[in-house]
Amino acid sequence: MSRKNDIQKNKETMLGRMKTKAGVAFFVAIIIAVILIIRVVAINVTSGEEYSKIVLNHQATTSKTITGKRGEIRDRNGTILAYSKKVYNLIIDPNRMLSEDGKYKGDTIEALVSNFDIKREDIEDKLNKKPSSKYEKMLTNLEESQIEPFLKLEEENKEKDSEDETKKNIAGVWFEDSFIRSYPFNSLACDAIGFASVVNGGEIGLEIKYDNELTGVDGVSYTYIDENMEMEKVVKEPVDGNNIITTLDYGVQNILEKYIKEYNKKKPSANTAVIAMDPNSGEILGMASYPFFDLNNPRDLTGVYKPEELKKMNEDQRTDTLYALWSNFCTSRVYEPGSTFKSITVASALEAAKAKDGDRFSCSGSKYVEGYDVGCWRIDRGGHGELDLEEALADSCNVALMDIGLSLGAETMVKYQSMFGFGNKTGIDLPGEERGIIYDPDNMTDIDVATNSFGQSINVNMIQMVAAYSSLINGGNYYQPHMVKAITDSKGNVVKTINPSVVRRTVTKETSDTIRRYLESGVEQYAVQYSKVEGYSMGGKTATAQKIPRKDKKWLVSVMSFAPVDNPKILLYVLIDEPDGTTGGSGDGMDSQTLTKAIMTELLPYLTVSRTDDKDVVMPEKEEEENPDGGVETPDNAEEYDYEKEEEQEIEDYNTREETTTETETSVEDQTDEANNDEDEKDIQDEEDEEE
Amino acid sequence: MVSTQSQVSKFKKPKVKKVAGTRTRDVFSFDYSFLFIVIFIIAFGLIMIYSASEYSSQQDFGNTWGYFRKQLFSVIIGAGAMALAFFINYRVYNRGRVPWIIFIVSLISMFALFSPLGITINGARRWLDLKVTTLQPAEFVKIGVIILTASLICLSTAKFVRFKKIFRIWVFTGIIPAAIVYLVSSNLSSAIIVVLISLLMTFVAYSGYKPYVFLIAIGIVIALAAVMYANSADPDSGSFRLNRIAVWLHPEDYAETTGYQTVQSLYAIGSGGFFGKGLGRSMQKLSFIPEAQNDMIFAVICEELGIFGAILVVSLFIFLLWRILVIARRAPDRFGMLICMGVFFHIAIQVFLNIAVATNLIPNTGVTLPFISYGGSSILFLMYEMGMVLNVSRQIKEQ
Repeated sequence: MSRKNDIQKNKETMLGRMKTKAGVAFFVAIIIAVILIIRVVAINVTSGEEYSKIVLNHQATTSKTITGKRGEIRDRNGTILAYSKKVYNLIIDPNRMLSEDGKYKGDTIEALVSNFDIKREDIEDKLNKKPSSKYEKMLTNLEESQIEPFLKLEEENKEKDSEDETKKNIAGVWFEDSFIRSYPFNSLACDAIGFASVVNGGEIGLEIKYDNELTGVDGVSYTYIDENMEMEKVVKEPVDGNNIITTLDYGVQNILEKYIKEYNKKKPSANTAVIAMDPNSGEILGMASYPFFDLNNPRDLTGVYKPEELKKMNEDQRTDTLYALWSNFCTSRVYEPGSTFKSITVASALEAAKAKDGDRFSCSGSKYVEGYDVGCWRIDRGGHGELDLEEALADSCNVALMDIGLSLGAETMVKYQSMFGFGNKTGIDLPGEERGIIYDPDNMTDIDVATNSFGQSINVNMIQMVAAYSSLINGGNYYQPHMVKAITDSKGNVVKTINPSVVRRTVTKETSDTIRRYLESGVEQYAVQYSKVEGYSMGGKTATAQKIPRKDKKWLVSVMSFAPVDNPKILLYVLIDEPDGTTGGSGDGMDSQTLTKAIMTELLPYLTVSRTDDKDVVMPEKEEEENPDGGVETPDNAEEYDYEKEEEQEIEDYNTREETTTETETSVEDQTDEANNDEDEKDIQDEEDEEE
Repeated sequence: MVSTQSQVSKFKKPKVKKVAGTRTRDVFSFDYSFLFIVIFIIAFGLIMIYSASEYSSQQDFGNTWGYFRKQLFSVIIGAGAMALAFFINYRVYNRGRVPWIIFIVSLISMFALFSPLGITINGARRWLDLKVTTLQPAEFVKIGVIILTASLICLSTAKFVRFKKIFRIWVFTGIIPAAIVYLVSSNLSSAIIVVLISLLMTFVAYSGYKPYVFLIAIGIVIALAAVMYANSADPDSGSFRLNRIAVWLHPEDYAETTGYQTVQSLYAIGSGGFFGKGLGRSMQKLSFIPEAQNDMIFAVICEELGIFGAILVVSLFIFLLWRILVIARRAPDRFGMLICMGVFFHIAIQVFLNIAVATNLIPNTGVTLPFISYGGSSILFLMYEMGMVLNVSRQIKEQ
């Protein structure tokens, strides 16, 4: 009994102790509660302001970007060359589609399958895998006409009474606006226009140069919660990009490309580049750089290469090939211009009063400069003999030009070259222009001056050439070459007009008149006659430049021509890089002339250049037909030097002496290639036969 | 109020049940303040659930009251459970093998998660599908632990319970079920709660303080070591738990990933100010705080009702704990008292852990705020526990 009492007593004691302990526990709980309250207050005091701001930002809960439409690119007459087309992406909202016990699911899938090229399984797969998603892109780039039937169906069913048995419950489908870039003429002016991608915007050409203008300002639609916790929707409309009115003329461009393609079909070249410029404004009317590519599918090489060739390429090669294809020869490639450059030297001499009309020169076939015999193309026939300045340019005499060049001296020559814009970017509104290379007069020796005088050991780009020539023939105004005439907003209001701007004056009117006369003589009587279009007065100059390394025997032939002579309306520069290059044959200067003639024959009437049918056309004498490009002929008795057909070859002697190895200037010339020379002569003979 | 019930219980006799008149009085002789505060907190919780879940209801149910309706349903069921517990004499839980049966059944319910009845939500296998409703067996385990711990402690008849014995009880009713909960459902927070309930109940039963002071000291050392290690370790290479600690220390560094919930919760609390933005005007509940009606409901309360709301909530719980304490201290026997203290600790632990997580005082672990967070099983078992406490309060004798 006492034990039982003890136990009871012990239990009582323990209960009493536990009461105390429970009190302690409660006391601790109060302390913890106070700590927690202090913590809440502390958060508010220390970070309240910052956090309030962050939360305020959350008020704009959802936002959706509305893409602004990219501007159009048009030609000078308004023909659309590039535009953005509105398309739609089909978006499904599985969450909504499956809501309300799936009452929408069946009808909506049915409607989708019957109106779009979409598989039932694909939709169900999405619904199963992402049932709570609100955004699943199912189809892209749908035309408006493709989505119309569905929208109509949806609209009709919305109006129906919910009791109506035929009512289809469609929900959870919407269309997202999108744009795709479209080029209606595919490859037309591909290098100049360039293309744009969704991700980067403009990629090359005008598309990237004017990317800021063309790109619209994206709008935004967002919902936010107002003070009364109501959802408010605000839409900020996008601003469409500006349109670019280029100086290009669709007709001109079309003519250029037609004949380039025609020529390359017969005789594929590495590159064929042509620029047509209005010499009185610097506006580019046409610009083409073969090979072409489809702007709507710029990464597709199948149009350019054969399938088996494509198969051989690895990824890097493909990329390199694409970049080469996309590069614009007219602005991004530099080369030695050759004889077309002689006009620049003559004009410089006239300006510097180191030569005047009627000056006489004597050509014995070669000239001895700094220990080297630099030849003229007529060396095998003992040179030109006595000739005046006009003949020197028109018949492309290297010896006379070297005399002129040396009389100018390095300093003056380079000064004029710079004035004509060589060695510097013209600033044409195209990306990736190369500046070319001219000499520093301090490092220039006589042999450099001599070779420079006929367009060798100097690097230029095509735009520099046409811009310089424009000033030569238009009376001396060096216009900024440009591609864009005006920028308008999306509604067509002109935002900016780009007027022709004279950068500087290069030559006097007298010099310009003289040069035009000389170049006309070249077409009428001398080497350029194969470019002549009957019934029009034309001036021009050819060049046949041998590419570096010289031993490869690859050529770059070109013709600069303009019409009419008195008041030039059009300047055309045709350049063929490695004519017949793919077959490994040698260069043929004739090709650039026949191509020039073909283009000019259609271009001049198109541009309504006035005809001069009454004018007598004096056919040149036969002997001058032999070497139409004015290059150096190979002498049979070449001992000291190996004269190739090409005049540029002399530079190698100089290089050998200097032992320099800069890429643009140096080549190690191989020894006399008799076979090749024979072949060249045979070619010329063939041409003679044709003429007869 | 206490005096009122004392007057009533004056007439109580051991076999009053047979007398109709006294029985009626008996039914109404309980702690009204306690019942009132429970109802008040539950009502407040329902309001806050409606407010916090308004947006996610719209998303998940297509209306604003989806979660509210489900919770209301749970509360009604819970009221039934509370009434049931109210009428079951608490001593029944200590009779014969009953505490063992309850404890083992609760553990079996944990293992039932492996059966086809178990459902996995968000990668966690924590719910039993009972067709009518879903249940979290971990909540059941908590009651089982409270009852068995109290029962085992009451076996002692010595003047001073030795710590060795107390410790064994804790291992058996705290650590083992916690390990089962954690291993079966990977539910660390429930496991921690189980361990702590049992531990604190033994604290109340044990005569001294030393071992507990020692335990707290060890806990602090381990926490400091973990913090130092997490600070020095590369956060990306650390384990999931260590990563939690790193997130806790620098939540803003993980604001886009694992720290998102914490950071959004802090934004909500900090932007509330003293009186808050007004009921229903939380911005953060609009999908920024994940499951705003759930673990992070305290943040929404702070945003809408401000510091004032936080004090209100904490005060409500302190008042509730006080009433439980009063009932516990007046309980007729040790078992009744320990049952009450078990419930006391269950609520206190969850409230403090929940608020500490919301305010980033401790690493993020998913603990619900009793009566206020959304969750059917939680409210159901909690209300049963309230019924048990009410039953104890009915049997208080005038001292």
